[in-house]
Amino acid sequence: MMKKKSVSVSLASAMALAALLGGMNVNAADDAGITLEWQQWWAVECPEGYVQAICDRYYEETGVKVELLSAPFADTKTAIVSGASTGTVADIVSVDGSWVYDFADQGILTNISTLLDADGFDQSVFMSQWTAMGSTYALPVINFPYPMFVNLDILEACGIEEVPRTWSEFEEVCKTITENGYYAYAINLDASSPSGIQNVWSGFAWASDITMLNEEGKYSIAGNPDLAEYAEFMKNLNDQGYIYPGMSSLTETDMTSKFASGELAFIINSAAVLTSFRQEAPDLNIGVCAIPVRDGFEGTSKNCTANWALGITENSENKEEALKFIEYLYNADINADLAVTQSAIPGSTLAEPDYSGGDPVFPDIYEMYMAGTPYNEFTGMKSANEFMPAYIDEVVTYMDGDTDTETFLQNVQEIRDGLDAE
Amino acid sequence: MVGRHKRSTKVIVSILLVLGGVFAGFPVLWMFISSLKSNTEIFAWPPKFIDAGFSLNNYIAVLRDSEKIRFFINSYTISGLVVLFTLFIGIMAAYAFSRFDFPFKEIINTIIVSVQAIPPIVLLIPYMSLIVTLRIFNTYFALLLTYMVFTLPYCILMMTGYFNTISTTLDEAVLIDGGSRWRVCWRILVPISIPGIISVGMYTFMQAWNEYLFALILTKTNDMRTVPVGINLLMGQHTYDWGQMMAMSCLGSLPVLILFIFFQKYFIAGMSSGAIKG
Amino acid sequence: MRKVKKAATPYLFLAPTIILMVVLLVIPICMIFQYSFLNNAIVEKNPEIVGFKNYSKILGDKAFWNAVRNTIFFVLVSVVAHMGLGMGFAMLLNSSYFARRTKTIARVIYVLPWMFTASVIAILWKLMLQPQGIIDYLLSFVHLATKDSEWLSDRSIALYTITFVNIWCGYPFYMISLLAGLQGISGDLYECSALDGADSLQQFLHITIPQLKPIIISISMLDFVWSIQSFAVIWMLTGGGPAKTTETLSIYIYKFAFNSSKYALASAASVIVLIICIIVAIFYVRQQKKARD
Repeated sequence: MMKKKSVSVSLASAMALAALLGGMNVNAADDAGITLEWQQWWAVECPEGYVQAICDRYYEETGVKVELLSAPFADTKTAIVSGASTGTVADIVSVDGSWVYDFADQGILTNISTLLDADGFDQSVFMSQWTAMGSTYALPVINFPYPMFVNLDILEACGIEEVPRTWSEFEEVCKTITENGYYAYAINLDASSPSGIQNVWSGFAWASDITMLNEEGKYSIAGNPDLAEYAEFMKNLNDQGYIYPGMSSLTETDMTSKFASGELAFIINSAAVLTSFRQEAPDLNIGVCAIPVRDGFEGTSKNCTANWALGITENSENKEEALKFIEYLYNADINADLAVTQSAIPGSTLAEPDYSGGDPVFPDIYEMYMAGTPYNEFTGMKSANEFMPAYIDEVVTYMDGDTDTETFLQNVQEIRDGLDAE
Repeated sequence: MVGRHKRSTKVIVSILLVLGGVFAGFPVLWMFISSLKSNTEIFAWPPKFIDAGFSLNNYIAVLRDSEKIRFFINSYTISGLVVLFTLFIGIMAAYAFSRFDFPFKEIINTIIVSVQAIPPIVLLIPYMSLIVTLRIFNTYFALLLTYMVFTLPYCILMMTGYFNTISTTLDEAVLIDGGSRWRVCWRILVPISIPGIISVGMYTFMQAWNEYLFALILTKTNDMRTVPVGINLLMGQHTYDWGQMMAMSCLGSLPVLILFIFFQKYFIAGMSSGAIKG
Repeated sequence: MRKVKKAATPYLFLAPTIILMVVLLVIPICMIFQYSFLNNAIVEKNPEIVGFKNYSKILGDKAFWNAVRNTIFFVLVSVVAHMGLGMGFAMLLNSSYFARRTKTIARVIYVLPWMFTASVIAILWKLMLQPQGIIDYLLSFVHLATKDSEWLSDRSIALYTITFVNIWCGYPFYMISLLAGLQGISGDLYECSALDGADSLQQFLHITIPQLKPIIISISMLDFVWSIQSFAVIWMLTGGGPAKTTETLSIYIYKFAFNSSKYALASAASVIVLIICIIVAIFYVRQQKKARD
């Protein structure tokens, strides 16, 4: 008897204590006004308190509170998916271009076109909209160019005076740099994150207008002579030892850190990293150049672009208010300031950013970006997150010399066709 | 134990001890060294063991940030409570498995062992809907229950093992004197098994302290988050704050290490319970 | 009445455990079981029952069998090496060769790998193992590596490397458990056998091992189950690459669930893993029973 009692007493007290601890920390629901939740990874990328300050200002002006929920970029997708399936997802979510189609297809994101029609906002303010299945599901607030960063000190040390403009010049320069004991170029093909296959591997090809999609919008990968030429060019660079070793486990962060430590001559990365380069390596002599193009190419380059975009979840009870907040971010001043802070291009046509106080190399990036067309094949692609890792595997196998160019492209085509058929 | 080859054996054993120490300790030493460096120094070639640029800036940055301090407090509270409750419930269950034969015992035991086999990543969404249904999403309680469920099987298995190495003669003596089963469990078996309990407790603490995925998904505001989530929040989209991550890991491991040093007297040879070994 | 009470006693001791496990683990696992028979779960609003189609799809997938092979290697080598290192270090720390202070310091150093969260372990090792990392630097002095050695990206050694890292971060758990177990072995046993002329090896084989057997079996069993679903370290070191050479079952399942949103397939693969573990668990429980009888 004794025993049973003490078991139940101690259990009950244990549970009570735990419940108390739990209960203590449940956020009291704010009945006074609307609170929008925003799942994002931007706040850690921006200067401390920057994003919060925007939300605070919005609260002052409208009385609508915006609460920031943070997750690391790498886990934001998992957080959104699990939140959406249990009804706890935030109202506004930051999304990557490669998630949009699947999120729309799965009913995680709400159709913004319908909301916009009802709301009557002047849509010409949006420089672009992300669509899937014919409707808008996310709005890119700012756009990041992906230029080629150059370590000018290395170039100088190797006696190189001009940045390379074509593939053959690039190869020549890589050769000189490697002979001088530096690393020339890096491709990050780590299997856990797809940024390298998008922005570095494909971005290099897009600059010469080499894409997987043909004019009719169909995937033409197998037997595509342009893709084959590009693949062989890259494979040759790798075989010559011009590409930083260990590309199949190199992450984007490893790559940027290596560049910042001054041993890598060229990387392709988001203009956003300029801020961290300046902080971490103030002495680094950074230049930018356009991604080299295929010899004889005279068309307009497609410039790899990534974005910070926002969507509204289907779960949200305050979709109209959520849209109002997103529209607020397209305000001329706010959008321009965000763009300048992050070394980005505004997503609002009203914004007139003043980059004069910004990074000294940014005007070059801006000019190169404006000379081409912004492009990203993976934004809005169906099942992009299943396709990219599979594509990475094929590139790695190819670069190791285990498949020939024809088989490589054939395999990628089959993966793509398989996903499109689902 | 003391054989003819004492001298040569001692040399060999000493070499092994040092090699083992390097294997175990070097990566951690490197983590500590990295925590004193700036991001670019961490990636410099050749790597340096001692650098003129060493500074405590990373530590200061972590300790000045009240949000990060909150992560530490959350982690301690949750891990500490998990240890208490897991041990309490687990020891009772282990006692039952060790000292009784009852119907379904083997089935229950099999279930307890094998339910851990489901990859947590698949469990995530169904588990999360359960937590939301129980209305404990984004609370300490959610993490407390989660880690109890994760650590209980281990606790039960290990404690059953330790209890099984203890002879039943003592139990029987107490029962004959009119003592209850409850008393046997807590007053006889538990004191004898202290080293085992401490090792299980340490393990439980470490599991709760280091778990990341559920800590991220079952909480949503930063005031409910734990140290591993805090460390991962330093991983940006394009760059990591390596130095601060390393500093935060070192800081996080320090209290656990102190606990271990404090408890290690229980592992010292000689204070054994061998007398009652059957 | 008394008889009933007596029969109920073990269940009372087990009640809190059973309640917790049923509510928080068995229910979600049943949901996963249910998902595995649907055409797709979670993302699909109106799923249909498709019977064993998901299972046949998984079992017919080449990548699945690749993952099975990698997992078998990873798990077996990890468990054996954990046991060997854990036992070795525990014996060292329990031996009478060293002064007390030496052992105190050694114990603290040996337990260090246990103190860190998986993502930190992965990042730390990635930092050390990358080309031009500290490992290449140190090994280049003894000509075992060059400055550009690719531990994680060379397809022929990546699996060994991640297994090595897993061994590093897993052995302290064995060491501590065995060390605690060693305290429970009576010194008398060793003295008696020494009088009978047994040497250290014989003592180890005939006294230490049999005495520690219940603990050894328990921890190997647990380690087996944990290694099968070990995820974070592998994911952050290689992501299953290069070209799937380090893709274990847990990575394979993760990619289905979160890269491809194919929860039904992920669930089916998980159920297969669960079944394997149940079979192993049955052996374990039998063994425990035999040891007691």
